[in-house]
Amino acid sequence: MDFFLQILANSLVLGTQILFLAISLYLIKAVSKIEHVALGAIGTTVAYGFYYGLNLNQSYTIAVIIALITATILGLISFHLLEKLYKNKDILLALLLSLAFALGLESLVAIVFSSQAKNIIEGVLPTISFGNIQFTLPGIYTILIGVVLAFFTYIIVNKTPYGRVLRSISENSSLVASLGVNQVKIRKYVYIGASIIAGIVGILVAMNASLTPTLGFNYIMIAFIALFVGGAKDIRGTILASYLIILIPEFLINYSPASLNFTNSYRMFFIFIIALLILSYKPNGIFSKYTRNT
Amino acid sequence: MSIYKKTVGMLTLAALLSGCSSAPAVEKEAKTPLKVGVLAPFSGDAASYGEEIQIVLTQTAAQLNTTETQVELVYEDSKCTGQDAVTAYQKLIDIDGVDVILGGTCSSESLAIAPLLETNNMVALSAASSNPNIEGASPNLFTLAYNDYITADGMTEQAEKFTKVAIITEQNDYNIGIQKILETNLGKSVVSNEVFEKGATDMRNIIQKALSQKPEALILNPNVGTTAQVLLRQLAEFESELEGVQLISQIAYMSAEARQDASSLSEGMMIIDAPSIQSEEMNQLKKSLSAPTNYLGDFMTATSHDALINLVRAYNDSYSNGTTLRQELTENPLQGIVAGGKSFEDKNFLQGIKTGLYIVQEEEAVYQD
Repeated sequence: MDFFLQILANSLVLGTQILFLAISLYLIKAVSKIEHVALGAIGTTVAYGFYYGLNLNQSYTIAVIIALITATILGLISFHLLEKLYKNKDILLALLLSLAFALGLESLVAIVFSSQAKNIIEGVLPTISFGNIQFTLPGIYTILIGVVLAFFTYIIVNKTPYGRVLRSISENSSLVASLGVNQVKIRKYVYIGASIIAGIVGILVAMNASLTPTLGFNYIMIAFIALFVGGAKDIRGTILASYLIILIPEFLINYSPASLNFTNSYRMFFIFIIALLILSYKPNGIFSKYTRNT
Repeated sequence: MSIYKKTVGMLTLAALLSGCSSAPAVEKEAKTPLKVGVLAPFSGDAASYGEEIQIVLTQTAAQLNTTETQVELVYEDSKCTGQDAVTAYQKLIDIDGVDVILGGTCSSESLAIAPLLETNNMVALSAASSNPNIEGASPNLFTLAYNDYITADGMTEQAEKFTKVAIITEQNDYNIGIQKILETNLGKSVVSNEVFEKGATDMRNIIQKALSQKPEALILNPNVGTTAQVLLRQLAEFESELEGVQLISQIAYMSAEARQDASSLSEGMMIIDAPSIQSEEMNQLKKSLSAPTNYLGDFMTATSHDALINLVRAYNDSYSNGTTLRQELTENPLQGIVAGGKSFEDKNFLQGIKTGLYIVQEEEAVYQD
């Protein structure tokens, strides 16, 4: 039982990290219909900014300021790169440009900081035990911040006028424009906000493991799948899918008979199978409802 | 008159011909620098390897350039993967026009370029590739590293003292090669056999799975570099569960840097690697380097140095003896700190290399005679 709970605990941390990125992807998709896959690399770059600030004078305040500035700049660059393509409805081109931006950022980080792993927290990570279940301190932070973030995102998107504006921009932008809403300004703020969220997860992942230039790539790929499995129009689906596509493969790997020899290398394979199964039954996402075409 | 003219003409022609035939060889030796293409990882998890190999080769080439010949080193990033190694190799051959290859460094690199060597009439000498599949992969591929069988046998020798052994392996040719041999050698005493993907940053679940089997010994089998550090650091979070568990590993934990984040857990760790090299030549080489080569360790520092001097020696001798570079490498005893006096004996691996046992004591890997 302890083993089961420990795997659950570790997977919850990983699932929450995916959730952060999936929420960032969701927000940008909601206002611009673009899958901004560079968010993984943006998160990593922000984490490097944090690391740099911390090494500058061992001050968390300076590190947070540098991380925030990095996130804001990268959010603005993303906005300026992709806005024109959104207006021209070149969504596929925007995805490719976002991917190119990610690769460029990764290379730049590798040139500036080298490919060697960096640790934000030196030495063995502090842990907290609940009975026989052990969490690392950054792991606990990840879950707590993740729960708060998911809750507030859900409330803001579904229960407030701001959320209604966000959703309506993607559903009927002409109508929103006729109501006098400044969509461009909202999109700009959403890009910055999503970059900050990606930055938070970058820092938390780096604290919990280690920081490498390519860190964000695997995470953003899984978050991308979570977004589609959950349904890009329903934040509840994104939240649920983020945990499902992490928890199910982990338990399959850890509880399958030894003769099957399912190692960690099977994780991505299982994630794709789960995504395929869910999407074949619910092509528009977990919480999608049947709607009649008008 | 005619005899005189003919004689003078013949002598002139002979002189011209002899001049023509000897001139290019002299020019080639004197003017053309030997272009050595170096395949090593300069990015990714194993970048530390490439960076330190570059330090050793730069120094070795500087020594050679003052005495024997002109050596130009052309580096390409093979990223410790087969696919990137092939791209890098092709660039070295087609664009840079190198004369010989020093590399690949990781086994996956050497195995990937092996099928291309004969076609290009190119010889590659690796300083570090150790996967057993290198044996027979190509008649033009050689390595100064010891075969992984030897490492795995050394690890088996220590692990077979325990009845329950867990193995944690990184997924790449080198480590999977060792894992397969350990699996066969240790048989049923392996209670947990976990593999994590290359570049993984969170290994807690597989650590937990391995520890859930309550092993008496835990074999850590990652590649050198970042992942080895991360694995040990995360393992240290479970230090209380590891009480009484013997850690056994290989070269990945020879450097103090790889163990620095978990120094208390590392105490007593058994490491199987090449025997310690105690020679004046080795000491001089280490002193002459611009920076320490902690990740490579003494053995690979020496084999990197030896690979370059043997390639240069074989290349020069092949010109003066009218033989091929391959013949010069395989038919004569080699030179150098590790390779000195040894030979390939018609194999791809250098013969006569054995491993040694090190135990970590007070943060130092101490060689056990």
